[in-house]
Amino acid sequence: MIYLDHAATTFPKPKEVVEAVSECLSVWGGNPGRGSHRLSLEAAERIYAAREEAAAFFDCPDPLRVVFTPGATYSINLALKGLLNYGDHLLCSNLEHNAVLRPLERLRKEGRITYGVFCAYDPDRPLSAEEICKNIEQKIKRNTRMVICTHASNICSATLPIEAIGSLCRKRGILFCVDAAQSAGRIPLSVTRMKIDALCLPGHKGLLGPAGCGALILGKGILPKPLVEGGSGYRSLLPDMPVELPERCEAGTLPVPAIAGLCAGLEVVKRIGVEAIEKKETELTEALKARLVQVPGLKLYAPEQKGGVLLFSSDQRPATEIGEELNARGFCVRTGFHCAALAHKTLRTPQGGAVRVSPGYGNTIEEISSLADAIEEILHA
Amino acid sequence: MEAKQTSGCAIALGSLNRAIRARDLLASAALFSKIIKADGKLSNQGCFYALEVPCASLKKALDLLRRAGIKGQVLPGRK
Repeated sequence: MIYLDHAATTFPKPKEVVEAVSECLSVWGGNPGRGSHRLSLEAAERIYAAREEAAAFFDCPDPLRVVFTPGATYSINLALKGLLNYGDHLLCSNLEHNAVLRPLERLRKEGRITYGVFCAYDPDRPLSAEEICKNIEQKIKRNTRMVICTHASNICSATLPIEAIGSLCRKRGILFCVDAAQSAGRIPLSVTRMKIDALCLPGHKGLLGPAGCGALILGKGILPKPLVEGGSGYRSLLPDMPVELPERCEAGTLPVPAIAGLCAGLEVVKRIGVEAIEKKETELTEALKARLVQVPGLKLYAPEQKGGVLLFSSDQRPATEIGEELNARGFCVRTGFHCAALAHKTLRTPQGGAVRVSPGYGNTIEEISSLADAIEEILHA
Repeated sequence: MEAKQTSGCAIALGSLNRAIRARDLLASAALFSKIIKADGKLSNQGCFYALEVPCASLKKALDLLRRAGIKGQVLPGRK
């Protein structure tokens, strides 16, 4: 089996991650921040170390601004529902995932917010950072409170100029929230330099951890309302959640084994280097692109963008059939709409969606070559 | 979580995360402390965590924490 669906989740996980999860489950995994016995305290120390690791990795000066969540989707929901108020207006890009669009739609239908969509990607011509910022500026209203956007698309290799958008938002006094589901661990990110107020991260993609945990990293002075309430391990006689981060937004027991794995994953990514990962994944995608561009009837989407994701469709076979044929030949790719209807509309993919190939750092050029052979064979059959 | 010297005085800090951060800060100034759970010792707060420090170092510890922007409250009845 050749796994080429790393945009969905990275697989297999590094042995360090597996060992960290196993050690947590069998050696030290008490409930952190709850008791005073050795295993509770040990777990709390490990979780705090994970906060420090994540804060340093994303250039956040305070580890207590790292809120652990069940994943990027939860982080996005927490940022949106915890920071927006009735009557606020918000802007998002035309490449957003449903993790952003669905909470926005719910808030809109409940009459709590309004939102607009700015053009961050145009399939007819590349947009500069200045043009994208201009598109945002043109849509800013008196009550615009937040800009939320993906850093890297989950269906193609398009990325957004986060630093320029962050500067624009800071200048205009607008909160800036970034969905880094695809970029965390794959593209360098700095909360401080990019002026990000809320950075939403999954643990199980580019950070190489297990599914079940992610993080929301908050800027200085950003204090969301909790999404859920419950035990926090201290001030337990008070009826309300604590005011302080991270406990304010971490009701209930944390996914300790997943956080242990995430911490180990972060260390692996640091050791390899984000730039090296980005370079390798881009090289693999470019090699595939060079082969697929020669296949008659095959359409590549956003081919001018360089990165770790390649999307294609064929006028000969529906995407789902291509995916099934590839699966039968031992290749794991993802077909359909990738939970990103708006982004597919932006890229003008056909009815039935498209095929996404997303190599990881561990894939080889030989594997990409054999995938290209298989695609040619399927489409010529 | 090991303390090299502990006796007597305690500084209430709130959550365990804050206690760990404060302990690390003091340790970086060679002032060793121990995290303790001090439930019910601060009025109407319920569970919270504190740092036990040698009483002779209490003032220094409070100064270090204050300079780092960490709020701590001396626990009554711990001297």
